[in-house]
This record gives sequence, C-alpha cells and structure tokens, in this order.
Amino acid sequence: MLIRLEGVTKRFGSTLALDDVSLDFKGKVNLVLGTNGSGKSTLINVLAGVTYPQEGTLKLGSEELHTENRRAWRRGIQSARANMGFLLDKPGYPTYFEGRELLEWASSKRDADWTGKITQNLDMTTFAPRAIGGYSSGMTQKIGLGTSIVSKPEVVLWDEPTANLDAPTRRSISGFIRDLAKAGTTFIIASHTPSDFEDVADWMCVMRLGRVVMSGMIKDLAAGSARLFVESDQPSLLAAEALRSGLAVRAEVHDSRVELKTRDPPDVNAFLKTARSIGVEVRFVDTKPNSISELYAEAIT
Amino acid sequence: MRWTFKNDFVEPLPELVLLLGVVEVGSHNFLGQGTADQFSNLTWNLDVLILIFVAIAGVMSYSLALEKGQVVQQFLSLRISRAKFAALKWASLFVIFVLFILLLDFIAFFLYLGYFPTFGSYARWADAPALSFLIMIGEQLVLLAFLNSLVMAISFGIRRTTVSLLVFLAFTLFTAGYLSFGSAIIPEYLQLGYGDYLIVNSFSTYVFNMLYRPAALALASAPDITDYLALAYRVISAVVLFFAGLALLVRADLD
Repeated sequence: MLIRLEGVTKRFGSTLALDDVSLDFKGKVNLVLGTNGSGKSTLINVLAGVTYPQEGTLKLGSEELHTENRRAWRRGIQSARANMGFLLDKPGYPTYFEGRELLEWASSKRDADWTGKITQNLDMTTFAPRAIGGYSSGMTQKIGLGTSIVSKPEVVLWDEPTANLDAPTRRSISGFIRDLAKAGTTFIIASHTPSDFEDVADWMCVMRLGRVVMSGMIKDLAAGSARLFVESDQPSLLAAEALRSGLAVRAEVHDSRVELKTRDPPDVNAFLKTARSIGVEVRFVDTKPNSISELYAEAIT
Repeated sequence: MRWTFKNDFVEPLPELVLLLGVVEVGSHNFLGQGTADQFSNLTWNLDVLILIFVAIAGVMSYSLALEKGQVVQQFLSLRISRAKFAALKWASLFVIFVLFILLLDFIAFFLYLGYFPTFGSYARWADAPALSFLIMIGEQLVLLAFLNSLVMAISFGIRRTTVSLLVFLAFTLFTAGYLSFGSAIIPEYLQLGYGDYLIVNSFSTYVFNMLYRPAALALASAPDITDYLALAYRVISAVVLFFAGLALLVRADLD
C-alpha cells in the first residue's frame, strides 16, 4: 500500500511534534528512527488516526487526504484501518482478559494455525492462559505484538516493538517481519534501537525535534558512505593523515587497527598510496558498507 | 460486549449492585390491592442504585478506558471507526444495564405475586400487574438509554474520570426525585425516578382502560402534556446526547 506524507505538521500547544514532515515509505520494512521526543510516536499515531495533524497531506493507497477536509481525513484512515495492525507506544490492554482471549478477540480471520504459531514463536505458551493484569512488561509487549499481526494485516504500524523484550523474542520478531513482508505486508516501525532491525529493514528515516533529517532506501543511503578497517604498524599516524587529507571523516584507533569512516565510497588505492607516502605499512584493509546503526548515529550527531 | 462485561465491570460491582437491588426490592411490597401503581414505583425505589451503577460502570467504560488507552486499543484492534466503536460500546453497556434491571424486575415480579398472571380480562386495575409491569420495563429502557447517553457524552467531553463521575452524579442526583422529598427547582415530571413513576402510572391506567374497560376510557384521565414532556425529555435527550458523545469521540485528539 502506498503511504506518503507531505508537509505534515502537528502541534500540541506550543510544542511542535511534527514540523513539515514529508515521507514516502517506499520499503516493505520501513524504519522510523530518532531519539526520545523526536516525533516518532506522533508520526505513528497520525498514521493510525489516533491524533490529527493541523496541516499536511496523507496519501493512503489511492486516497489523498488533506487536513483542510477533516471528515475525509477521518474516513480515509478509518477505511484503511480495516487492513492495518497496530502496536502503539502506550497500549491499553484489558487487564481481566487472558492473553489468548485477547488474541482471539482481535483476530478477524480466526486462523487457529496462525494464532498458534504466534503464541509459540513469541514464547507466550506458558502465560497466554493467564490474565493480562498479572503480566510483566515483556509479556504484555509480546501480547501486543501478537495482537497486531494476528489478522495478517496489509500494513503494520509498530511503535518501539522490541522494548522490554528478551533476545530470543527479538530474533523471532525478525522472523515474523521477514515472513509477513514476503507475503506482502508493509511495516512501519518506530524505534530508537536500529540494531534490532539491521537484517530486515529496507527503508529508513531519522527524525530529530520533529523534523526529518535523513530518509531513503537503506541500500542507497549506505552506498554513499562506508567504513574502512585497516591494520597497520602506526595506526595513530595513519588515522591522523586520513583525516587531514580528507579520505575519512572520522577515525577510531583500537590497538593496531584503525576504523575509518568515509563520506563517499572508499577509494582503497588512494588510501594505500597515502599510507605509503607517509611511510606507514598497511597489513590488512577491508571495507564494509554502513549499517543502519551507523547511518542513524551519523544523522543524529 | 465481552470486553465491556469482563474488563469494564470490575468485580464486585455487578454482584454488589445485584445484592443491594435485591435487598431494596425485598424490603418493599408494592402489591397494594386496589391501588393503580403496582410495580410502577420500583424504578423510583431503585433510582439512586441505578444512578450510581450507571455512573460507575459508564465512567469506567468510557472515561477511565479512554485515560488508560483502552478505547484506542479497542477501536484499533477491532479495526473499526471511532463512531462505530462508540455505538457498540453504548449498545454493550445498554444491554448489560437492561439485563441487570430485568433481573431485579424478575425477582420483584415473583416476590410480590408468586404466580403467573393470566393475560385475559381483568375486572380491576389491581388485578393487572403484568400490564403495569410491562409498561414499567418499557419506561426503564428509556431511562437507561438516557443515562447511558448522558454518561457517554460527559465522559467523552470531559475525558477525566473523576471529574466525569462527579459531573454525572451531580447532575443526576440533583435532578432525581427521592421518595421522601422532591426538588422544588426541577418539575416533578422531569425528575429522575419520580418522573418515571408518574409516566408509568399515567400510561398504565390509560392502557388498562383502553384494553379492558373501553367504556370508562372517556371518563378516565388520559396522559397529559407533562407525561408526554417527561417522556420526550428522556427520549430526545438520549438521542441528542448519544450523537453528541459520538461526535466528541470522533473529533477528539487521543494522543
């Protein structure tokens, strides 16, 4: 489903939560990154129809919604909601329901096999028959994740899905994302821990103080810069020269190794030539494209 | 309805209301031979209990659920519009309120009568309790619809649990007509409880004469303008407040 925001602005009193945000979610697994208070949750809430922005346009599938026409905006989001799954920042679950009861209640498809798979893979078998009121925050998060995908929606909106989760469940989530994305589901995931989605995300944006500071397909963003790992007899000297000559924008020395960050795709030959010119011996060179975490760190610093 | 009954009606609220209701019903005997108001003042006796029950259950289902994010969770999980959610929640609560009051009515009916009435012809008004009972149930539905809409509109308008509860109780208790005294400011027919009793009385007598003593119909007093006003106040307010509640939720910024 096409999801595109243009010039979306949302204010809470004097606080500008979203400042003229324009985003085109082109990926299957779209990652919205940002520090606390950057506007990620507000963005998810706008897409979910929980909150209404003051200005902007939202394209949802074939519908184009404008804030000038509030009624059409509400209706457009309502009709899209039938094919969406949600996990919000502060979800309100019924404390007197059992976990499995909530999954069943939220499921529109009554697919027992799928519900069973969710229960098993998210490791909910032991606590699903108990009332949600007695759950830990991790258990509650798992139930929320299960509820959001139990109907196999076309679009999944997640806000901090890996919060409070253990490592095995984080890995299970990557598996679910991969399977559902392959089946056609589009994910929009707000998070401040990009490392949880390194293997699955294909599009990302970074938000800061309500504004978008970076966005695009990850392969395109990563292609523009890289990391160069070098082993040398004089790593500090090599790092200083790489920075001075502009071959690297950042350098970190660890024992005999130097990690250089380049703005452009690294030119290994030019680098080796520079090393030779200052009499430094290079024993090993390797390049790696920037990870999502690297891109994120670069965008927020 | 499952969510509403299991999660919004926190125990022991339903049990407590039923217990108090049964005690209230059992402590009065409305079967006065020769009187025309059998059962009709059951609502009047139960009005404070009904008001408190609707206040607590309603505020928990609408306002507290909104504050705890449960309203958002419900309409998102069910993938429905806010308006449809509000209508479903209203209907769920209404059904539950009605089931509770019907249970109390049922207990009262057999407690006072102890037999199944025949629906044939009755010689005297006091012999036709089933008719009075049926009209009373109809009137109770109207009252519960009005109170349900009122608590919904207040909750979605104010969106603060304690304030919503206080406003609802202040309005309803102020406009309720108690058994021992009435409010001088609010006309009797508009008072909650006493006004309901007057409506049931007027319409019961009229329908009884219409069905069983058509010859006396012309001589008997028909429901007057105040009875229709009392009924219209409840029905129109229920409809207006229902749509006001819907509109308030649909337009609310729930972030």
